[in-house]
Amino acid sequence: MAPRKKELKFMLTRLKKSPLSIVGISIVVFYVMLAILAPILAPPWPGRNPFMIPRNEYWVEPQPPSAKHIFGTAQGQYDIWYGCIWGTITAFQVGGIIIGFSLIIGLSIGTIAGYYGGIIDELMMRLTDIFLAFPGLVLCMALVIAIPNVWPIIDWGPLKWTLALTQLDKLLIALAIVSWPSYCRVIRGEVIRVKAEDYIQASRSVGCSDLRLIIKHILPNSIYPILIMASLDIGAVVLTAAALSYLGIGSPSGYADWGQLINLSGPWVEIGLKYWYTYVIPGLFIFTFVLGWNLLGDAFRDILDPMLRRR
Amino acid sequence: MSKLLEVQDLVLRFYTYAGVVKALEGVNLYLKKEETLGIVGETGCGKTMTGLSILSLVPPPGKIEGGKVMFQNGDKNMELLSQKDATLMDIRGKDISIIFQEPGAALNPVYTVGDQIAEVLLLHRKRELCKRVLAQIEKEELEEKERKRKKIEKEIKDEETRKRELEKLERQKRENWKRGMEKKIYRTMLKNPNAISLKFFKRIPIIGRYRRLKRETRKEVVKILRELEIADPERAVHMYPHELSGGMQQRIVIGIALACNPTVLIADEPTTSLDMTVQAQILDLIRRLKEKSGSSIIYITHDMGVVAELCDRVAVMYAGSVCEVAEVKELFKNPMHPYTKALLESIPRPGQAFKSISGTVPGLIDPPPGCRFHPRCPFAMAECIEAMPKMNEVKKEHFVACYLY
Repeated sequence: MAPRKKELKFMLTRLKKSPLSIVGISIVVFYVMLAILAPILAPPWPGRNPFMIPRNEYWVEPQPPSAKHIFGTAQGQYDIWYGCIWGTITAFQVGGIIIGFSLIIGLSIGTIAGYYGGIIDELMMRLTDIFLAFPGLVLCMALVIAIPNVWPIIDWGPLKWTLALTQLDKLLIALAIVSWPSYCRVIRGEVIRVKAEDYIQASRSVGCSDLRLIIKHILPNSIYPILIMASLDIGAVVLTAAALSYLGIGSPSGYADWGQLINLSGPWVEIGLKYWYTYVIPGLFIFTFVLGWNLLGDAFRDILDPMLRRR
Repeated sequence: MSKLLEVQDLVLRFYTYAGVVKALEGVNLYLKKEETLGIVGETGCGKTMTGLSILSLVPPPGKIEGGKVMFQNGDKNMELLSQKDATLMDIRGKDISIIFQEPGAALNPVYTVGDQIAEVLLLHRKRELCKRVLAQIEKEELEEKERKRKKIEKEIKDEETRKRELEKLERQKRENWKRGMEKKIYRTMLKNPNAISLKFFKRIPIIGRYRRLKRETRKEVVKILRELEIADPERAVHMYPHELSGGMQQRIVIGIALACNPTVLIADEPTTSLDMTVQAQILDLIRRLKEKSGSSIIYITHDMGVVAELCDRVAVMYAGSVCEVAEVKELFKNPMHPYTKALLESIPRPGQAFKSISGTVPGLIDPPPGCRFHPRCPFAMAECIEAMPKMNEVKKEHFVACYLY
């Protein structure tokens, strides 16, 4: 146990030396707290989907911050405070699910391609090339439109089980499909590099199986760039999801999502600064969230960089 | 003495973009029980590849195209090149292991050295460790029983009750459910280390950790480190490879190779990257460990001094084939192959002009026909160009591949 503790201590001292990473971590921790405390900070109406922003009135014009609506209301009287707080959970869901799925797909395909090489590598890499060949945002939009809403999983006589997808689910799937190829590329390169190292040959010479070699020896040596990329991408993906929501192909109207809130503010931007709260507040949430993850990614890089570690 | 390992007509080719590299062309070698065989030769003559071929570890694009590797495994005589991967994996590290040239590169930087030695132990000696764990548990059980008995005898004065309590204690089969469970787990592991139930058990957080097995493995690792003369082994177990010096790293690599007492140890220039004093220590260590475990060693080097120091027999390799095999004394006293002669003459000696072999090592994509040494050989004849000379036994235990003999 001792070396693990030593390692942790070493990481913490390394962290203390860079104030920016502290800022990054505190921002992310702050958002985690927001997400956890959401039901207390912005209590949902009983019996309603908590992710749908509640509203009392239906008129169009946004209302400035008041005692009842701390951040004011957006077009259609959606409460901005509620939307921002519950939007945090949406942001974590979006980032986590998309990055999680792209990591799973990217890591498995990339590692297999890099490790076995030859024809397997060729096939898998050409597959990733197909996905990389399209501009991400455009492919994503096309996929959201193209993916059917209802997926029949079992359709056999009386047994019928279908999977219904919401617009947001489709957006997540589309974004995961768009973002795995870059992980795949990076991990493949790393695996090829590590595979040629002597210690891999040495572990093979003591009788390790392929699976063991990959999981215990190759991946721990090649996963750091991926970790850094993933932590940077969580922010970026949330930004893309917000952009798509703004374009109207993300979450449904009134869903607690930062991009959705900015989408609602669209018609009011040109009028001037009178309705600043409709776009500045959700914009700030997006901005700090992405900034936090970016700084955290930098912190990861500082901690895990093997050249800096050698002491 | 019987042949423990025999390489017959081994052919290895690398299919590269520039052409087919004929890396090994009919290598013949054998290793007897408990002897040290040195393989010497210039860089790129195929020494290392011979070592790797024995365990089918040749990296792509290398391909073994012919030959046999016979290995006397216990009382079975098996051919290694045609074995399945699973069988090979079992042999690698347990029966035949390799020490690599560059100790710094042969250790995985993300694991402590203790973990790396433990990995080999757990791969090949799990059963033995399980037995030890079980013995330990049983010992603990007995001790606890003993302790309870003493307590009863001391505390209960009444003869009748004491007798009854003691009988009750005797009848009690399992007093500690935790120990009982552990016993069950380790028994399953002893029967089949890859049992599916164990795989599930391992996934249970907190409980599924095999603490005893880990402790026992660590003990064994410390024992191995102590045998390797590493100062403060308890602390060294927790160190990462980059925290150790080159000599220490090489000791660890040797430790990994010898952890399972292999019958054959292939040492691929283990001292080349170390300085002279450390080299002497490592050689001494290898010799001592060999005497203790009774392993046979194939020692690959280009250093004639080390060969004279350590080996019983020597095989001289040139451009992908063996040209002379003899006992050490015989080879140094009476070298026969022109290449061996030239090699021995080119050892620098004080007060003498430095001699080298004229010409260069041929490229192996397009090697010279016939005997590969003939362009550089002062005794080259017409037949040398036509066909590769066969190995023949000129004297007892002295083989030469040359038309001169």
